Amino acid sequence: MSVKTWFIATMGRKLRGDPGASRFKRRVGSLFRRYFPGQLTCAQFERFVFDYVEGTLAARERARFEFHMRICPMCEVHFRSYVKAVEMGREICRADQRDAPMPLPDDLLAAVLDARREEE
Amino acid sequence: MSPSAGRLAQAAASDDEESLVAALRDGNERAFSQVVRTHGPRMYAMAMRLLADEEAARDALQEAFLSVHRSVAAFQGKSALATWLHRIVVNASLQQLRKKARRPEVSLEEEIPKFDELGFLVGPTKENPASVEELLQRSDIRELVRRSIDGLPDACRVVLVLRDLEGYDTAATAELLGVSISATKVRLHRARTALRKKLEPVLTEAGS
Repeated sequence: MSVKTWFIATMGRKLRGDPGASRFKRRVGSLFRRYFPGQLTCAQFERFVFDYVEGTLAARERARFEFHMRICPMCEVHFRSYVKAVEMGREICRADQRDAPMPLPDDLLAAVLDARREEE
Repeated sequence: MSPSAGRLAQAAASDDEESLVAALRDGNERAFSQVVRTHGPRMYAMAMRLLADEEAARDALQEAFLSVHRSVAAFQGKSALATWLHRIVVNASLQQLRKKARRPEVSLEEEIPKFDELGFLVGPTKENPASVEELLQRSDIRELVRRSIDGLPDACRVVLVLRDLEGYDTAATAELLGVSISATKVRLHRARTALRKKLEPVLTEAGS
């Protein structure tokens, strides 16, 4: 079997979720740990996202975090979309505050003023 | 013209907040009405963001203005009136949240990132290159963001709204909620992660 045939068959099994897929993943995992010792896994990366965004991650962890982001497209997308989601929420909030708010509904305005009169 | 009415007229003419507060302290009804009309809409919007429930927001607003009426004598003017009112409506909203029968907590299980057996993240590999500004030009996306925030569990939504959207720092948010700083951080991360997941269809490229 040529290398090309082996590669296609292996990837095919991986994509189909064949029992051989887990062996393939284990192989990739062991290669990852061998060539990138001491680097973060995706699960560890996810646990650091908050502190990285807050700027409270120690320098060594920050470097490991940034290295992982460079080699893992899924974590990079996860991180970028995390930041973007917060920005979108913030922007919507700003826009809602900026836009001239509607006057209070008449019945609510009346209820607030009545409540104060009753309190007097 | 009563002294407080005089003060109110002065406030209207010069837009002087100090005079308005003085008229409020004197129990002037027109001053109170003016404050409700001017600041009420923003306060109501704030209560709606925190509570995501119209009835609860209305109750919170009423409670907030009663609280203004009762405690305006203690307002020393160290902060702007709007800041003081903002704090009052936040507290009234949080009180509503504690008082009201809680909505069944929504599970965030689906929103938590998934990892395979080796610890690799399972998820999209392509980001939608559109910027936040470009995305928010679409009204359906703006609506999705609002709905997604409203749909968060109460405990997560209030942390997100106070800390990320209203700009309170972590310590102030923790104090308002009566929880520790570390608990606040955990909730905030959960809320952000859940919001990210809800917005994933627009933040990543379909089919990736």
